[in-house]
Amino acid sequence: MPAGPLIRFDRLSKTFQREGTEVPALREVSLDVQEGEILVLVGPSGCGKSTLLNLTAGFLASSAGAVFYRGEPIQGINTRVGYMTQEDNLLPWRRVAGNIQLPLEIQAAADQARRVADYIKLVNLEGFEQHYPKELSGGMRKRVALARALISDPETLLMDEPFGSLDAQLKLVMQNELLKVLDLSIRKTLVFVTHDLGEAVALGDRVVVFTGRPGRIKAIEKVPLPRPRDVFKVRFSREYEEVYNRLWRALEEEVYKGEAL
Amino acid sequence: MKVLARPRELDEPVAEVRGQVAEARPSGISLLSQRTLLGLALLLAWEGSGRFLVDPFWTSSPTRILGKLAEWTANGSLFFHLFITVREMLLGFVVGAVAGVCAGFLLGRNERLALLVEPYLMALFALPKVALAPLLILWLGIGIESKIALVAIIVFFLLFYNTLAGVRDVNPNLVNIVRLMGASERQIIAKIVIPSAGAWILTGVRISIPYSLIGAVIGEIIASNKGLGYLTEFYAGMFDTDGVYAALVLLMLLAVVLNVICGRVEQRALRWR
Repeated sequence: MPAGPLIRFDRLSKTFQREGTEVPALREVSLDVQEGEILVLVGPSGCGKSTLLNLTAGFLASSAGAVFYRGEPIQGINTRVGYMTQEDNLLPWRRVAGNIQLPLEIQAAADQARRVADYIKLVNLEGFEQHYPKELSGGMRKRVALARALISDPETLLMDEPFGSLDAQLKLVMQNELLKVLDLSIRKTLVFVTHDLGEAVALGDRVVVFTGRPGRIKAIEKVPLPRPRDVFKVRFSREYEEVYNRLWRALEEEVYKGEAL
Repeated sequence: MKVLARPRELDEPVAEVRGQVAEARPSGISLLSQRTLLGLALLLAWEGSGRFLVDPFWTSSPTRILGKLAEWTANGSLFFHLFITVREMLLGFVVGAVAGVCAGFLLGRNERLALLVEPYLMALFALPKVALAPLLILWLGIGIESKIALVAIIVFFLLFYNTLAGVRDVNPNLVNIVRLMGASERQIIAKIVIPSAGAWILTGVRISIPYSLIGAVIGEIIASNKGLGYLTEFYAGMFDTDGVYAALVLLMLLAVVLNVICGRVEQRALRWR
């Protein structure tokens, strides 16, 4: 059976209505995401990267074109994806363990306590099971959000600048953890939005550069670095530098255009 | 499953910080003994003024109040009237709170219905509820039913508006996140809306407890033959200030006890905040 792309964006456009005027966010975006791939989207602010994720999750409906998931157009909420955003969106009234357990509760899964314990171990939060989110540091809250996104084992993960609010060192640590988790199950697909080009190259199998608003695809680069990778070390490789430079030339123009507006 | 590396930088718990703030106290005599001394001094001044300055007919005195309270305890009227007021308050509170929370959820989850009835509810909310007391007494008589109704109406509006605000305040991102997890509408309400609005509802409960006491006492003062409000009114009519003060002391104690209980419950329930 020839496997098609997992996600296909087909001449996808999205326009928002803001105070009577039409604001185009995405225009005629066509792109395929393969199963098991890490696809990173970069682009200036307001280029519709987040909109693309929201369309994939089914939170928004497209204005024109369509998103196909396993060949079927997405209608309504797409429960096959897990979503992680810049805000950790933890339930403040639930403790760490309760937050991580939430997807299992909703799906009435078996063996919940053991799985929660496993994932707490995986993201290294042992000893903090009974803490409330407000008692944790930003990095620890991200780990909780990561464990919650992973525990229900969604085949696709959508991440919208999940580590955007972290300091540089902690960001590297979290990127490394994310890659390790993804390498545990080779079929898991990740669509990752960032405006940190270094993060994009370190994580991605492919990196897509978007133009400023309305977002269109400007360039796509394959990252010729094998996985598993060590995000601390790849930065010193020649391939990393070459891809980074090519992507920066594509992105630079868009960033300056955005500044001029 | 493989365990990932544990980062050290900036990732340490901040949980231990709480609970250490209350340490700063003036040295020397403890705050509690200072407070006790102040209370005793005030009571002594009151007692002294009653004996040497002002006729206790006007201001009574601590010993005379204690005497009155002892007398009421002995003849059983203290607990009789106290329990009448507590009963009016609690029954009215439960009825009003349940109705208010239900109405708040109903309108909070149904924007069209809310838009339809909101101006009318606003108008009713704006009405000073104690002005309804004469009408309620006319309908329900001078027994405890009219007081329960008054308390229920007061509490209803306080909890209705708090619940409505709570339901509307639910973070839409949290709702979207559980939708992606495959949550049904019922699960969204059970796992997100109710706990999230719970904090607002608890605040509503906290502010409506003193108001329910006010409602019960005002109802009793207007027309009744039992309860603490009735006692103050009755003894004032008899020009017996000792009786009035004794009833006020009971009301004050009741309010303080209720307040402390509410505070404890709220603190426990909202630990996550």
